Amino acid sequence: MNRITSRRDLLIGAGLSASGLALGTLLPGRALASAAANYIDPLAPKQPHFPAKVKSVIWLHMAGAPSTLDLFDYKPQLIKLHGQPLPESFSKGLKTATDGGVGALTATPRTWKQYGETGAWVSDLLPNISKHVDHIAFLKGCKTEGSTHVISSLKLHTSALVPGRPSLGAWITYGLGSANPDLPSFVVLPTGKGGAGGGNGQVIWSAGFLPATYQGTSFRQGDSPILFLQRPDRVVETEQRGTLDLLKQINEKHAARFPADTELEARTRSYDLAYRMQVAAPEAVDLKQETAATRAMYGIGETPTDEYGTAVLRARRLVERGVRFVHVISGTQEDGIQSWDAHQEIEKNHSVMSKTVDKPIGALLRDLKARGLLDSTLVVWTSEFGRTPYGQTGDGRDHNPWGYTSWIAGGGIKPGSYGSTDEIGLRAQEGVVDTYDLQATVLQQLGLDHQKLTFQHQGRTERATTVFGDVIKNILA
Amino acid sequence: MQRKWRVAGAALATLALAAGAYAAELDLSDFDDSLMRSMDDAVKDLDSNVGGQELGAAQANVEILREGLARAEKYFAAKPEAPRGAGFARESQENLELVTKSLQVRDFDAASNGVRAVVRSCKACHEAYKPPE
Repeated sequence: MNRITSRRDLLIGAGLSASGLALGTLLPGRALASAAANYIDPLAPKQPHFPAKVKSVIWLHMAGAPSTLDLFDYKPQLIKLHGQPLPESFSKGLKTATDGGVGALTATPRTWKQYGETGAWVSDLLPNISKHVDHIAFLKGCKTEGSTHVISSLKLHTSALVPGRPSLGAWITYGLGSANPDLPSFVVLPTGKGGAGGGNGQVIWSAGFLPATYQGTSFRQGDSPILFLQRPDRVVETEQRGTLDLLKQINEKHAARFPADTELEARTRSYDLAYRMQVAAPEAVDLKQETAATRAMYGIGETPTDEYGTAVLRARRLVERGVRFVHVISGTQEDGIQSWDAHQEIEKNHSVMSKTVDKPIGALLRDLKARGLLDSTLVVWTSEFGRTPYGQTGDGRDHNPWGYTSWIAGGGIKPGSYGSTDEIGLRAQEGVVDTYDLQATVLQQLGLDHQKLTFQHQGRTERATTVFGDVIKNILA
Repeated sequence: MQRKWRVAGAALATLALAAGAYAAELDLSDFDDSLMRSMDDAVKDLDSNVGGQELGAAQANVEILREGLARAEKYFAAKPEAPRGAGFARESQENLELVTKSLQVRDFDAASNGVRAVVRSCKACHEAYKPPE
């Protein structure tokens, strides 16, 4: 099959060799692959730029944008100014209204307490996460761009305001390869009735201009996250293997004519991965292998934590098995609520959403710590933006890209609070962290220099963080 | 180097939407829009050139930026309603000098840090004065 039989085959072979070499030059550190290799496994493990602090990331995407003013950012001055118009001294220079007027300042009705040795403020909406603040670095001066979910969600995940750039998980997979060839390296776990909720679908876990093999693999919700893992009853293993081998041969023949077609290459590899996953994946996602106590700790079997707890526990099992990046998108099964996007009835919305995520996330942090995994895992809690200190439609809050809180816990992270918003929580004023900085920091902890992780695209040397991004050194241990 | 004038849609959108911040009373419509667009392209090309260790192309883009930032400084110096604009432009030029010096000794890591410093001061100016599109 592999003999060169014609001039055409010779030219195709030369093209493949050249493409293999070209790919080799794109590896982190620009290592040159063996000139003899016709094919370079794009998912082969790669050395980081420097020793990594963590092996994996669990990215807790709070889709729809929670009001961190009601969760982590305690503002006594906002309580004092409750009911008053937004002072111009705070709003000057901001384009405030998105899809409604600017209502009066609205104090949070929550009760607040400081927790742990770090004294982090957490509201009564998050009684479980509050127990773990001494493992968390709160980034209280976050800011972003745009004021719609689509744009800001794209920016959070791809550093661009329009589709087409690779997501952070794809860059990480490109930079480090796979640590477990039997599982996808980048897994997406959506929850809730809204599909990906405010997560805006596949574009936020896309490989963009990177080869398609680096894109995220979205698992289904429910008890069967991956369909068709079982062979049909009437097909024996040798039969299935023979079918896949034939399919592979046909695909390889086609690929030889179109060596630059990464979509076909990704498809061919996905068939192989699917075959291997028939053994590895059922075990990885089977929560029955967990003790009843562990499942209960994550809120599995209860309303409203069952689905989100299932996703988060699966995330832990996946990073345990070497998956690099697990993107968990928050949602709920509650009727009428799809995400944190509370333009109306924020009390009801945030009560449901907090109950949905708090217990599972608290359990995740406790579980990772108990298993010694928190040292090798980064847990990132973030959203496309926050919400305004002024009201909207009477009982909601509008989008706020100017100031909100995210947090990071895990390997190499120094707990505490970093940065702040102004006195009413409208705008980041100290320790300002943009999404590019968050991405640069995550890459850093994985041993990747965001300035050196590059890919040639349309004549430009592209980076995950574009031309921006500074590692948040103040939170590194 | 061939000067790149292509429309960088995403890049421009980034600048256009920079935090949604603006000053409603500020009129900067007489600023040369094509100059800003060419600087936007040049800084992204420069970042790419530095990453790819393309010395000649990097130096060419530095020149585009040097000329553009000098013009921006002059423009803002005559705009008392945007008092920090000239300072931002000057700061960008100072950072650009760091890039120039780093390129002269082919220290591309230092040049990369310099490019990011240029970008920071440019972004700070856009966040302060860029009107919404």
